[in-house]
Amino acid sequence: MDAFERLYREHAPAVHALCRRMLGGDADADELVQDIFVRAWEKLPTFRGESAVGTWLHRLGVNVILDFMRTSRRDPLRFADDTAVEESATYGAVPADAIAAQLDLEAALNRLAGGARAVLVLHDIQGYSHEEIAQMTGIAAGTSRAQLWRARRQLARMLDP
Amino acid sequence: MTHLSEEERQGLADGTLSFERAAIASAHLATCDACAADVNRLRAVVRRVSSAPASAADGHTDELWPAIRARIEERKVVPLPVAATTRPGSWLRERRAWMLLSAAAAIVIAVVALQRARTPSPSPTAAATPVPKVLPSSAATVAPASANTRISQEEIQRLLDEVEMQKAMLPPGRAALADSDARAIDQAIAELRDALAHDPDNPALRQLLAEAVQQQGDLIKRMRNGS
Repeated sequence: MDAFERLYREHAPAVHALCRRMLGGDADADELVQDIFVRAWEKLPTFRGESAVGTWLHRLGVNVILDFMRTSRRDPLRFADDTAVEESATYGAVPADAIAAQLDLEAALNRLAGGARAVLVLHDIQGYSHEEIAQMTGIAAGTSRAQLWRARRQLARMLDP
Repeated sequence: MTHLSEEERQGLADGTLSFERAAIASAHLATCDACAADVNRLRAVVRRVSSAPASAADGHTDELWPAIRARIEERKVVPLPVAATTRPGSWLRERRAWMLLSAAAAIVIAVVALQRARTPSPSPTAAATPVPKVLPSSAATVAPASANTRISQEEIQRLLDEVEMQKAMLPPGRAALADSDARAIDQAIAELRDALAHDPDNPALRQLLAEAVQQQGDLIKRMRNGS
């Protein structure tokens, strides 16, 4: 097994999970994983070891995924109209669909809107700051916050109706 | 009663609210069941999301590697190495390589010995240089080591990975040259180890081995730097 294959086998499951969560399902995750590792091979000479290879790979992966989301018709990275976060004390209204209570986290993530889901994954799972997310996605840091809050609210309703 | 704002609730839930504001907001929670319940609910979501496993170990990604490898092969200048045992006829190539390497190793040993002979009095510290930890030797593998430093297997593997990837990106001519140098030194080390196995107390052999390992380390550094 060569060195790059070892790198792939070590990091591919996490990169695949990143794709699946950012995209909201498996549909394009396989293709994106391939794109990310081919890009990683091409960019390898630029990796100078300032960060762990996993961190570098995830950052590169996020950029590939965001590029895909920007151009994809199926799951575009939409951030418009997302700043209108409700601010009343009526959060957590019980959804009519009782089946929602059975959703696990991954299924609930899949049901979030593209922009909100991407920010939630980047912030709460990947650990990026709102400023970093703003830089990567081209949205304002305030919009990133609003998206995150909205995503958490939606998740709360789905996971704990 | 004025309830907490969304920013305060979310900030309390993920711990990003400033200390002063968090103190005021927490005091409010003690008197407002609605806000307290809402913040607890958000905290549960944050906990659950942030503790989600980084990956799903379903083995599915193994199936994607052949396609990735094929795409990489289309783009790069040097093929990825394939395990020798899977190549028909590889024993003949290995035999030829073995003969060439033996000759190259003899040259390396002679050069090192010559350099040593020209040195009038080796320093006491050099003479006391410990024999590096024995590494698995292979004609296709470079084993990084330092004459004076014992490095971990993880470090060796990391260096090997870096060298392999760096090497695969070199133009074919340079990659072959680097391979040839690496193999010659590798072979010299193997032969010196073999000699030491028969004469473990021979200080000259020990010194030669230390110098050969040092050469190997220098070569790896050059390969890592792409020079």
